Amino acid sequence: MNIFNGKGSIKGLLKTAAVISLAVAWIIGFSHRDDDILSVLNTSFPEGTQIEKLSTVPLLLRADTEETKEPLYISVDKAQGYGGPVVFAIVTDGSGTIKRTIVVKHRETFAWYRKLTRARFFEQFTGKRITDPFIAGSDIDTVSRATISSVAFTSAASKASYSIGKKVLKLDVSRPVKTWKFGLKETALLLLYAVIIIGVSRKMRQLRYVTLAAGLVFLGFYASAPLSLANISALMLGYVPSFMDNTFWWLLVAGTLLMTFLYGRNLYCLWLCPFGAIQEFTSKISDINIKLNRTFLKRIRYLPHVLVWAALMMIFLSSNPCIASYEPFTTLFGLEGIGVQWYLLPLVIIGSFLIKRFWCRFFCPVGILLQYTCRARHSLDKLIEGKGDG
Amino acid sequence: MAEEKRNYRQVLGSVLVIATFIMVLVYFVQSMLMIKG
Repeated sequence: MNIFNGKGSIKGLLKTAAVISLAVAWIIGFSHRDDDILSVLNTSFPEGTQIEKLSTVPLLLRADTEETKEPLYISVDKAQGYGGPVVFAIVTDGSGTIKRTIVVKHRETFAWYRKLTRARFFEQFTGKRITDPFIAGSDIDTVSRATISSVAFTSAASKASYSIGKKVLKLDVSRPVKTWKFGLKETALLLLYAVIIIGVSRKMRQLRYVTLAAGLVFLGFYASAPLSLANISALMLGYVPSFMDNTFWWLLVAGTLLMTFLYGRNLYCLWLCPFGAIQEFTSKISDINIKLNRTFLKRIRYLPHVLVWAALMMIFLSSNPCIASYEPFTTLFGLEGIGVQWYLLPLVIIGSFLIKRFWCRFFCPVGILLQYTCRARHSLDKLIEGKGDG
Repeated sequence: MAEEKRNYRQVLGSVLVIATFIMVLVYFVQSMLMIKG
C-alpha cells in the first residue's frame, strides 16, 4: 500500500507533523541559544581563580589569576558571521594590552573556520592594544575565502575592546565611522538580476547560458558565495547582517527570494546558480541523460523534502545554519572540505555527467525551498482570485 | 542489447542516487559529531 496515495489524509498529516516539528525545534533551539557563554569562558580560562562580573550588557568580567599579580579583564561581544553571530572574547591586562582571545561560540562552516585557525588568524590579536583601530584588511589581516568570518571576528574584537577600554580601563578608545560598502560584487549581482529579468520577460532563452556561465564564474569561483541552505536558514533563525555591513548578502538572499516570489518561478536555479551551471555544462559535455526507472523515481520522489526537513531540524535545534548545510558548494568553489564532503563532491559530479541536473533533481535543498516560495505565491494568487470571484 | 544497456544505465543511475543519499546522511552524522567534539 502506498501511504502517500490517500489524498489529504496521511500525506497531509505528515506535512502538518513536519511543520509542527520544525516549529518546536526552532523554539527549543531559540531557548538554548546563548546560555552557555559563562561556562565556555570558565572552561577556556582555567587560570582564572576568581571571576567577577562587572557588566552584563556588554559582558565584562574581571579575573584574578595566580600567575599575574594584576587582574585581567575579559570582554565578550558578538558580530554577524556567515552562519550567524560569532561570540568572541578578548582577555586584556590593566594597561589595555590583549593577552589572548577566546572563541566562545561560532556558527561558521567548519571548513572555513579551519582556514582561520590554520592561518593563525586569532594569534594576530595577541599583543595588540585595545586602542588600536581593529579594521579587517588594515591592521588585522583577513584570510582569503574566509573573509566574512575574518571580518566578523575582527568586528567582535573591535566592539569588545571598545567596551572594556571605555567602561573599565577608562582609555581613550575611538572607532572609525562605518561606511556603506557597495562595490564590484554588489554591482555585478544587480547586473545579473537585470539581465535575468530582461531574458525572462523577452523570452530570450539562449541568454540563460550567458547568465549561468556568469553565475559560475562570479558567484561560484570568484565570490564563492552561491545561495545555500545556510543562507536561507540563517534568515529563518533571524541571523541577518545589517544592510550596510553586508549588502551583498541581502541582495543575494532577500533578492533571490523576492524575485522567486514576485515571478512565481524559480529563476535562480534555472538562470544563475553556479552549481546548476556546472551540472548543465557537464551534462552537455557527456551528452548522456539516463532515464531512471519509474518505480524507483516514484519511491524517491520525497527524498529531497525529507533531507531538507532533517537538515532544518538539525539547524533549528542547534541554532546553527552551517551544521547541516549539506551542499558540496564550499568543497567545489572554495576547495575546502572536511571528511565525507570530499567523497560527496565527486559522486555528484559523476552523477551530473550521467543524469541531467543530478543534484538539483534529487538533493538540492535550495531548490526545494525556492519551490515552496513559488507555491506560496501561487496560493496567494488563488486566494486573491477566489476573493475576487466571491 | 539496447534493452540490456538501458537496464545497466538505470541501475548505475539508481546506485549513484542511493550512494549520494548515504553520503549526505554520513555528512549529517559527521556534523553532529563535530559540534559535540
